[in-house]
Amino acid sequence: MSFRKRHGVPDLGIGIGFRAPHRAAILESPELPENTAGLAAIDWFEVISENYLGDGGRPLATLDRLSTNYPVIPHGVSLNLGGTDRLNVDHLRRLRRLVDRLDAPWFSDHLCFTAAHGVEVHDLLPLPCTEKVADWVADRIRAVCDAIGRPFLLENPSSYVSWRADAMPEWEFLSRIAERADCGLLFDVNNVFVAATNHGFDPRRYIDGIDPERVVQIHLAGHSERPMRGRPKDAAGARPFATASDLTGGGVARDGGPTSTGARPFATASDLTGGGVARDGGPTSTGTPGFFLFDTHSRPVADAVWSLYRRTIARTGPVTTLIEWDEEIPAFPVVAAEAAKARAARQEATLSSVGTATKEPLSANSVQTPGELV
Amino acid sequence: MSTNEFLHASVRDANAPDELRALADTFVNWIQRPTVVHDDDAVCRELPAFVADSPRMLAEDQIEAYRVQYLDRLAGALEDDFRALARRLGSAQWRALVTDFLAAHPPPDWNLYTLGAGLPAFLATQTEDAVTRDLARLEWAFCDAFGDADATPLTAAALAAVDPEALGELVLAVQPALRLVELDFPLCELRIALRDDTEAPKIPESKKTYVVVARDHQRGLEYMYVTAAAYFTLTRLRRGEPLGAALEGAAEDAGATEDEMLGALGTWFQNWTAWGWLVTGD
Repeated sequence: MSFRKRHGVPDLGIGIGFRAPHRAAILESPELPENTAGLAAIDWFEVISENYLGDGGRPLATLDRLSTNYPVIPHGVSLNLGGTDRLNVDHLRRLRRLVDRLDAPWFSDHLCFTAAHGVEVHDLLPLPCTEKVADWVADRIRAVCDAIGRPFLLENPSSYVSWRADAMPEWEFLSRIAERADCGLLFDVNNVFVAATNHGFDPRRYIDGIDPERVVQIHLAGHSERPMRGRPKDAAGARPFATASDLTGGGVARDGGPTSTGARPFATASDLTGGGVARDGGPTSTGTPGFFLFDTHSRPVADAVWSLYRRTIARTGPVTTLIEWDEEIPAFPVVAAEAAKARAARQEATLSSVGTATKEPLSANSVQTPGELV
Repeated sequence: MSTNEFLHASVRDANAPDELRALADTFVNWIQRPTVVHDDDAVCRELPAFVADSPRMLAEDQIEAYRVQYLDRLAGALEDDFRALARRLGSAQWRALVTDFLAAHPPPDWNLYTLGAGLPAFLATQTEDAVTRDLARLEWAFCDAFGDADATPLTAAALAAVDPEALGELVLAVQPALRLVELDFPLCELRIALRDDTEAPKIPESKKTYVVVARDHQRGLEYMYVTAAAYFTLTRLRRGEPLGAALEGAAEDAGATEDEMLGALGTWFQNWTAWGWLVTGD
């Protein structure tokens, strides 16, 4: 029986990450035509847990208003599940309070470590994929689940580092942990694409390598290119892995390189009270020599990621899906339009997968051809 | 054992795999360093033991991605909280300040709201400029008050119902989010102008100034200049002193007469209950 059925977790439909610049559109003036249209595309909201672990004030008041009208799921960034420091008891106590306040059907955090020797780096640092580390993380997840008392989902991170100690691919590592901890998966399709591009593996192998029965939620987001300081390894034209162009069948001009100062899903007081900068997202290309992909959440979802999303849905069935947009946040209708796109893609992939046999597994040396996934 | 070693020992989980601890400690040390990885000989020497080149990225580029992100993310969070200070210092001086601050005070936990708690004190060791120091303290008061607990305001009627004979021993609770800031300059307007990036007013003349930062009824934060007598009364009430002792002590702190204190008390109670500064002790 799937994790979803065993734990009775609902399909919440299509949601977006709740961010301060959209608060007025969602809570203060939902009746405006542009906001009404946008809200029609949204079934639920996800919030960054750590922004709501305080004792009071505007964050919790806002959250209460939001959760009156929508399901709200807390998504964490600092549980330090793969860390070697002790789990933070105060953090867990506050998280339990938040999850209970929202009566959330699940909560989630990342497969990573965020701190070491008492220093919290506020970033999602990839773990070495070994059996011993998998067992360590699984033990900590079980402890967290005991403390919170609700189903937990583990999210695959974006990655820019390859550890020499890696003994298995990340999808095997993730699957082993999920199995041992008996948790669900929050499958981030964009993170798969970013990691695949940076590390040179086929993203479809990742999708095909996870247990679809454990996937409860999917994340979709945009990414950006950032320049590398060192000599580009692929400058001579070597390209042993897929690029966005490969996956979408068409080349897209890079529009001037990196545009963001960095993803920061962690809000500060000012984030929650201030306004955002409206900016149109442009097409994103990948695979440019001298650049790597960075998970900025600052752009529309790339075409290649939409393709991978449809492939994922074909395996998992229609699971709860979320659009993340954390940097250069555009006006609410722009993000809502991405949600509408996700709804259509989910429906299309669900319908097309009915009666279809499991896709042919990829061999370790499989090479994609342009347009293969489209 | 040094203080740092003691702190590390107190947070470490002794059951963690040794090889993971070595990797995590090393990685976090790398990304906290101020030098670009490619130019950092010490890091470059250590890299091959832990990091594998990927088809796309050199080991140096992989770690540099995280090093840049660490500083950018935290500097961004601090700038959100101290925007007026950042504008006053200018980008180069601000960046140098936060770099030095984070090296001396790396984030201790998950809570980004408290990241800047030590910045005003750290800044005070770096500059003699009183305006800059005051500005940092004022900005921190707003951040510090942001997520404090809500409390039920005490109504004027409830206060009026107290037996006058018992007023002296009455212990009044102050709104948890209320912050009291003593400054050498009246900087609230300058703070707003700098934060909003509008034309900043001239630096005001030095003048002992007392500011209350408190939560309004929409749970936003507002500021108000108050008299020395009001400031010290609120300070003492917040400490839990009974009303009579608080007034007596505040009069001494502020150099006010008993008549002046009693004359102001009615207006204070009227305003403080209306503004929600006094709360029930529930």
